[in-house]
Amino acid sequence: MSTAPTHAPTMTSLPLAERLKPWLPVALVPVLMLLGFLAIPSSSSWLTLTLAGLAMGMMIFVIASGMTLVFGLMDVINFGHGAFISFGAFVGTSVLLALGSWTGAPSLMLNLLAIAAAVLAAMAVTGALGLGFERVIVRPVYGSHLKQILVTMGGLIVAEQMIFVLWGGHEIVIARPETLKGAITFAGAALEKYRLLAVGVGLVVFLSMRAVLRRTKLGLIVRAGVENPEMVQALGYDITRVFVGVFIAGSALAGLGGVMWALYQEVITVHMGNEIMILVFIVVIIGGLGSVEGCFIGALTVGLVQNYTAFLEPKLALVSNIALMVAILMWRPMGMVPVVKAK
Amino acid sequence: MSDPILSLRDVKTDIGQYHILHGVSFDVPKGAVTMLLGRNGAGKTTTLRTIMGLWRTRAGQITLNGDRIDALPPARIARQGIGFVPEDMGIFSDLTVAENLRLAALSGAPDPARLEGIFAAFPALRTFYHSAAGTLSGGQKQMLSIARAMVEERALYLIDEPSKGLAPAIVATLARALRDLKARGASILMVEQNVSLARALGDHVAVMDDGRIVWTGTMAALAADPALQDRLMGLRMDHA
Repeated sequence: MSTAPTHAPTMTSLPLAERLKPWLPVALVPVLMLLGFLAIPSSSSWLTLTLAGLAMGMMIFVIASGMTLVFGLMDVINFGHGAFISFGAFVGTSVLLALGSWTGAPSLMLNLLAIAAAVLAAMAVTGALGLGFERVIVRPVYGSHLKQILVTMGGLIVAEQMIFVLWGGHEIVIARPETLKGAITFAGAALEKYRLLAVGVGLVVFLSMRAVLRRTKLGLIVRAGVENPEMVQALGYDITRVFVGVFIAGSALAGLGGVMWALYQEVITVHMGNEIMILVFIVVIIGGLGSVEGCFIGALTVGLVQNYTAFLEPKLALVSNIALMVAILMWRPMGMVPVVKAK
Repeated sequence: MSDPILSLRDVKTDIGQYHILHGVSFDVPKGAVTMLLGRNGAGKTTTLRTIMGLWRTRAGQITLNGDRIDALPPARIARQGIGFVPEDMGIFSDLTVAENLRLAALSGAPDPARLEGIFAAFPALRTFYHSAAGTLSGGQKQMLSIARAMVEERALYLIDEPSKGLAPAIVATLARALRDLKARGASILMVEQNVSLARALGDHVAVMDDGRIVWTGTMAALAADPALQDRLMGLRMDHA
């Protein structure tokens, strides 16, 4: 056998176009905002619509982020994810109604405490429901997409019926806490206070998730598991336990999203989770199945496109997100931030 | 032969409706390199994956240092001290080289001194330490795969065709690293189609055919018997 060479390669710099390629999806959101600015005649309207789009996108991201990780890690398609949104909204609304004296008080501190209590209760309940859902409904159908679709749809129906039993079938109106009603004026634009809060919460959730995924060993295991769960096991990590943890966290985040959506719409219905799931699926698909960053960009894109289109051409608003999905999948068939999966 | 670190007794494995291993029995001695040889489709990779628990046994026993591991999940088998280098390398493309190595360090982070040893064996991994593993060449990925198994001391290394599809210069680099590992007294079970590499590294041999072990012995005995080589593997080692 010949003497082994040192095999120490040198680095070369890629052309600028190649280096920028992975960042193109990130540029999509500012490009969309710029296009919106050019298309919308009034800058104050543009600012209001942009905030509305970002707030909507952040809420969808909070809901969809857990679902995309669940799919990425264990290849599980969970059509029952909407149940956690609805349950979160109903539990959170119940807490907010019970804390009516706090939400009605003109005190930002009391209002935020009431929302925090509602969010914690919703996340605890939906997290626990997620644990049961994974054990009873999802675990027996690992590896079979058709069975997953059927069984998780069934789980969604059961969950909706449970909400009927517990809260009744009628709509529940929920007013926003006193200090979060109305808008502030900035550069001539009316910016709803609650939307500003939703953007803040969404950003905190995204940055926290990113920090956990990028800077902790657990995040490393999750990212590796999304790509090749078998190899993660062969390295000594129990991927099933990690998956259960992600499923619970994803369910709890859907519960948080449910509370946020309830306060956004100011009314909740039994089927609200199911209705939002259409947007959630679009976001998960265009983001790249299993990618949190892609999910974030996808959610903001969906929120902005829906709001700009509703203002510029209301008749097209209904199909705008489907058209967006078609366009993005033609550009990037695996989604904006595709996840490499082991064969 | 010293006490075996790993023993397989009448191991049978099915994949779907196919019976792949029909009763595999052999020992892997401590502190030596055992080569698992055989024609394509003989069941070598299935044997390694069965030892790792990635495919479950239908029957038989697998013991590591005398303790049964055949009923354990893969993660617990790995934590018994087995480092696995799969045939497809199992590199996490979206993770950097550093993250791939950190993930393999069950104690938390790679020991700096050990990391230096890895860099000495595979300088390319130092160069691309903070690059995504998906951007590495095939040879560099194989280096990373082996480095990942070496990032902590293991009781046993299972290495599946490390030279597959690689240029001779890269194979030579890998061979040097594996020789160093062997010199440190590591126990290794390796599947290898490159006969000269197998001959250079192997102390013991188990030859498989059609899901069974058909011959076990020393590499010296196999290398000295061209007729046996021809009968077992359909080739002569000195011609390969």
